Amino acid sequence: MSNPAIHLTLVLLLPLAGGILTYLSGQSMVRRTALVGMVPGLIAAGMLLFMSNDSSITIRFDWLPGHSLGWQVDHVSAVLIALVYFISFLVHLFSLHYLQHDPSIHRYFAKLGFFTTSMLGLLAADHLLLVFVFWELVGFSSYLLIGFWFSQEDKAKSAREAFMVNRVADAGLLIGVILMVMVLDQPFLSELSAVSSSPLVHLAGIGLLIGALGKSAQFPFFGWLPKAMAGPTPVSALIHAATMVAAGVYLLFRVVPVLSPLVMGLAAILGAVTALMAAIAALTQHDIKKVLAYSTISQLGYMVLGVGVGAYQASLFHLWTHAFFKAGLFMAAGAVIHYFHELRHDDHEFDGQDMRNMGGLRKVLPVTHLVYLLCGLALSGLPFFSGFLSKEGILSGAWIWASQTGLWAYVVTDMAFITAFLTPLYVGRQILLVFYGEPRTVVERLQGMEPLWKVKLPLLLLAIASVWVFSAINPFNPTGWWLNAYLFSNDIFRAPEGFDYIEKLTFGLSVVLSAGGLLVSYWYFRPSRSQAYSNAGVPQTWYGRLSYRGWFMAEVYAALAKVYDALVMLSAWFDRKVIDKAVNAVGVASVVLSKAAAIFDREIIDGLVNLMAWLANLVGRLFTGIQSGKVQHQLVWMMVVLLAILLWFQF
Amino acid sequence: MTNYLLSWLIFLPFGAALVIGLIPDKQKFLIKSVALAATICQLIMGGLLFVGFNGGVKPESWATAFQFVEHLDWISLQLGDFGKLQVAYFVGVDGISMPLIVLSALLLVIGVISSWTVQHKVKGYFILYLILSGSLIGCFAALDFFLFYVFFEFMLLPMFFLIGIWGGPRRSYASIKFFLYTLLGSLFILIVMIGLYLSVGTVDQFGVQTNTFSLVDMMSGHYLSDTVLAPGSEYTMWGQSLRYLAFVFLLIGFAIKLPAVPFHTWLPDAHVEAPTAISVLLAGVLLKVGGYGLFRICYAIFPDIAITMAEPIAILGTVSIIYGGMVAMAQNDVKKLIAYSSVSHMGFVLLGLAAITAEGVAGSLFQMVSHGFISGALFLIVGVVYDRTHDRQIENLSGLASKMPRYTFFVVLFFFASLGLPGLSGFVGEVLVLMGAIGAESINGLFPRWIGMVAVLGIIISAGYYLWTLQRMFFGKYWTREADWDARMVDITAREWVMLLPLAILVVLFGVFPSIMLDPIDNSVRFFVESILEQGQMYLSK
Repeated sequence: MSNPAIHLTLVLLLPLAGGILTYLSGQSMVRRTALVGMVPGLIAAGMLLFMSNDSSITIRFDWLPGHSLGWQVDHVSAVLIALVYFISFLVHLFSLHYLQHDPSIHRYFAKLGFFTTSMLGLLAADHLLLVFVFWELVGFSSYLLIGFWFSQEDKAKSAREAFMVNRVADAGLLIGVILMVMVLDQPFLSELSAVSSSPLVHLAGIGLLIGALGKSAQFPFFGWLPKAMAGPTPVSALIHAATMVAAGVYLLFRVVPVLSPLVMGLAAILGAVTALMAAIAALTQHDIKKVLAYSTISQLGYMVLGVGVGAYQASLFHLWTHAFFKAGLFMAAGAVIHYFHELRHDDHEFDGQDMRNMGGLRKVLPVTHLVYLLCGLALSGLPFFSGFLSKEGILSGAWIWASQTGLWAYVVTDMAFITAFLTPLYVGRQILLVFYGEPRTVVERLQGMEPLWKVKLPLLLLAIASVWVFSAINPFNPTGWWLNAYLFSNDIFRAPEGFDYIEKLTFGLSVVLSAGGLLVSYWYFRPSRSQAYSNAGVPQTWYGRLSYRGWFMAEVYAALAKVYDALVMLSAWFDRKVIDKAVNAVGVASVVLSKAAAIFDREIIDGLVNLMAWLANLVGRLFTGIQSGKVQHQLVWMMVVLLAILLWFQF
Repeated sequence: MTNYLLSWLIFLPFGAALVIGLIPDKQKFLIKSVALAATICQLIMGGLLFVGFNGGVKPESWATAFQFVEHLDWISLQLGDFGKLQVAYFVGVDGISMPLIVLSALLLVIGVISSWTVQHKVKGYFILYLILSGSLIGCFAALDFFLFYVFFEFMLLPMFFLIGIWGGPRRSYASIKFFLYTLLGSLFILIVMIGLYLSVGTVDQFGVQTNTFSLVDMMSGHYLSDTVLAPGSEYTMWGQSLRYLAFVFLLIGFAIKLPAVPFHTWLPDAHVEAPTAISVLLAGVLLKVGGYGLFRICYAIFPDIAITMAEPIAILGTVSIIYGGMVAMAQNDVKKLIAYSSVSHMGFVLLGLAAITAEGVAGSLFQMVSHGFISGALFLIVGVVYDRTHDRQIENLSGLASKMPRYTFFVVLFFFASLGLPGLSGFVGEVLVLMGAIGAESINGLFPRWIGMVAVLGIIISAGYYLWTLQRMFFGKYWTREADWDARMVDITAREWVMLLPLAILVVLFGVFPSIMLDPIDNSVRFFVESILEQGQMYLSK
């Protein structure tokens, strides 16, 4: 193995190795072993950024006969690997605090390490089959993490449902991958070339798109992500904000060359629809994590839209900025949940995730409050924050695309803009309800809630990263991402000639929409009004319910599962009552037949034999009379026979 | 010893069975030890076979395709005008049979360990077990159809008694169903065997005709002119050519064994009643005899019909995958669930073979071996619960993960291996088969793509029933239906470790490094594919 190969192997395997070590050394050693794999891994991943500076690292190996698979780390992969490492490292740190009292914490770190390695493998994989391998492993490890508290039935159920929804989408992906590998002969991501449109190309593209929609929780698959909130909150920060859900967008970003215009259009439509639907769903949630879950779905919708409209570099930019501020939001939410858990751990009725029980937390969790505020503003898309820059590129890309595509496409773009207004609305609502106003339940300062290293460091790092300067020097230039040169050799998405006005309009509109959204949220949830929120129930209007229940996605899945169950019952019935009955009938028939044959044998065949014997007996008995032994009788019979013979010859 | 390796593999268990026959009934431990020693020797020889097998050369023809060949005349009769009846003891392996022999040798050892708890009629049990074990290997090694048939039938009887005497409550129904069903299958095979014997052979320079049962001659196409099964022969029955009918007969015969829908209903019954060790062998190895028969006899001897029948066979495989999985979902008895999942997974064997592409055929073989590991382990896993509770209903237990974490680890591993998680062996077989099936249209055009795409649904279905079972039995709050089970719910014992751990290692090893198996057999697979396609076209043009 060459040098880069060893290096890459280390980068990929260190989290897993560390996790296994943590598991084997047991719960008591967790504080010492949890970061053993992550720290050197993080350094190695950082080095990878510079190793792949000149040319990308490409490794090919034979896995299946006739199919050599391969890794490739180009700049995009290297950056994303570093990103995953960074967030995963912070999550490891935060988890040490969050799960400190959990007796299975060593098992948790093993699963976390496994997840990280799977995710890194996905980013480094070049061959589509290898992508699929890690894609599935990511799904599996997230199943393990969502169901980490498996003895609680609802959590186990959520894990299963999340995996199943993903699996359905993965079937689509597998078809896409196999078509690419076997039929279109384009197995390597790094060597994709544009292909002329044909039904097969559409089909392969749709397969890949379905896979991406599943993993990135897009319509119609997004129902699994709110369920996935059953996992420990640091897991949600890692998996359901920064990394796993971004895998779909990443895949789309990679396969853009082979996506036909039809598939791109579909991606744009579904992305925008998801962005809007999820933003609406986020407006009415009471659960602090559910708001974030729907907001993640919504932001991923932006990214998918970005790929669909051809602004895929902007999508990658948004993936990057979103990873930081959303991980920050989730971890801050985790800090809130953890606080309530510590405060009310005797009260099992108390729901520490319900925002109706919160309010005024800025006084007891000052750092968390600050972080939530910064990251939330970034999510809102306010200028001077990272989210503004990256969203900008997608929105203007969508507008330009619409102006080139046709009137219907403006509907898609409008949805994206409406979402841009709804996002600050639900973010503002959440921040106001959680941190401002008067506390709606009894709260007090607790010691050790925001320890320096394990909580403050990750939270503050993520919050700081949400400020514009860490993305671009110019807070108003969406194409100013300092990684542009490194990632795309500056071949970035820019408004084409003659479309400058769209960029300017988008800019103005975004500022107005985000500021407007925040103001509206303040109007509705300002401290003086938020006290009444503690009695808020489940929305009763039809639109309120539609939003609160997340467009009834869970119900739709349940209905589909019912249909499937009916089919299952039908086939089981068919198996028992038709096929097996037929088999048994053949068995019974053959028994009946053999009984009949026995009767035939006994009565007819044997009977014939007996009949013959009886006849012989009869004849014998008849003729015994003749053989009386008297000469006269014999003479008479001789005459009779002679006469008979004569008569015979006569006629 | 390597010269007679296959004979040792086949006859050592028979010898051991004789030895056990001489041991008094009461010496149970000795009996078990002899059986264990014999199967361990078999495993070591299986290892030698694997190591000694040379996969580096692509065979030129069927005549040179086999290694470890032994050839002895066995029965030779002059039949006057009918020529000479020639039956040979003719064994050898190629890349198709070698992995299956190694797999058998491994599972046979695990079966003995699993049988350690057998209490009554120990002597009879292990004698039958060893007869079964020798016949199994014989079946995979035979290169003479007559010999194959003898071993094939020889497996049936011990199996019948093992289920019928040591089985569960409905054992007599299950064993008779198993026996009659598979006997029916072998009758179909017998008919074709006779037909092939009459059609294949050589004529020497004096015009003396020698018919033969040699599979190698049959595969090479040494047909006597103007015989019933010669390609292009005029003989027909029911308006179909005899070759076509012969293929269909063989297909039914082996599809029963495989089993493919709709010939599968003997399997769940047999599994539910069979003791754990016998279930392991039944699912792990015996089903593979059906798959192997399709490869060696059905396809290799009738390649022309294999080509023309590719589409219906592929559909049959896909139906098995989907239907078997859906019926599995409806089961409440874990053992039945796994039995139906076997039907589903063996459907992949059929689908991959039907494609006659390198990927499909290699995948089909890999799937057989991987399914051997996984289904063997799954039945052992059911055995763990059954030993403790004498119950297998899913709804009678829940939350086992909290009580038996190590056990649950194996359960999750093997469930996910079976549902095709990458990194575990089940995935490799399935993905290769699907690649072959979806790619077939553009590689050899045997059947349309949609069949393979529909088969992809199988990965959703299998995830459905395994995850559902995990959730109900292993997650949630710990609970048992009967209070007195609780005391017996201890985590897995040392004996169970010994059985499960090697399979777990193999499942991971084969999943991460499939080339362990695929590299040695690659040349055989490629030769198989090429010769089927070439010979098939040649026969068809006659």
